[in-house]
Amino acid sequence: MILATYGRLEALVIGRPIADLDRPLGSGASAVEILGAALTDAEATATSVRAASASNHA
Amino acid sequence: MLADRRQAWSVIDPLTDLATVPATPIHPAVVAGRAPLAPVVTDLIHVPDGTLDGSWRWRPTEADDLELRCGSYAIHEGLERAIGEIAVGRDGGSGGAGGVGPAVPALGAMTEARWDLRGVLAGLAAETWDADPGRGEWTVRQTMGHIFGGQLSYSWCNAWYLANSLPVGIAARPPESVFPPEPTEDELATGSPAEVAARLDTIGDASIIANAGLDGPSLEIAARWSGRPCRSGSGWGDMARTSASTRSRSTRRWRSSDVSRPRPNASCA
Repeated sequence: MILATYGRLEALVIGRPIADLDRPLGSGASAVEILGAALTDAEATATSVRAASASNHA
Repeated sequence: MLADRRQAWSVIDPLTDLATVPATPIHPAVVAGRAPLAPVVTDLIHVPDGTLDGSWRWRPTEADDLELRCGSYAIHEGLERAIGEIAVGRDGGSGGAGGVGPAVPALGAMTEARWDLRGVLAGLAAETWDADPGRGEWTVRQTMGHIFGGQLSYSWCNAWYLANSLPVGIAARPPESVFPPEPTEDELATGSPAEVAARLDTIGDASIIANAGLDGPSLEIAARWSGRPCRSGSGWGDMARTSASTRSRSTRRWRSSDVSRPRPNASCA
């Protein structure tokens, strides 16, 4: 489900000029910055979940 | 063998050679941004189902612990939030295409189908890829080879149709002599599961780069798929449909098969 949702996100940032993806949107962040932040957060969350799982399991 | 033929038959070269519009590169940050996805999936897959009721605290500032399963929900919600932020920030929430070319929505559908399929693949144990599902059905690897062959065929033939602009009803399948030697489906599906899955990006990205700049009249140029006269613009829709339908049929097949043994927590991928 997570990769499918990511696909919907990536579909918003393909086929567009690079300058369009670098321009600030309503929040002030660009599309690629929003994308990157979401993925960074996803990675940190997954790391945290796995660590907690290991801790709970120990 | 494959490496030699791939040198002679780059995935991208025919699209470049036959291009009728300038390339639309994929933003480097988008390509680089995919890197965390593999560790995300690996981490989640290695969380045993039996621990999902355990406690988890995401940030130290959170007041309460949550169930561990909420971690995967949080990832999903974060991606959904980013989708909303981009869509609303770009189009004021209208959901419009936002000034992109007419081929981009279909290429976007292709992208969604690609990652949907990769989500299915991520949940499969490595030994499942070559296991015989019985009843004469294809293995996972053979199915992937067929997807690659189909996607490459769509891309290359469409490029030829666009470059030749034949009258509707006249367009026939391009002569094979116009393309470099084509790897077999078995060759295309060679490699580790991660390598094969990543090949979807190579082929899909090449199509996006080559075709995102096409205009409306280009999408109306005559083509022919499976003997059926159609417009060239239907090619990417067919590519998305092919991935989605193959994913759907394959998922049912692998799930109903004795050899399908998804890893713990595989549904998260």
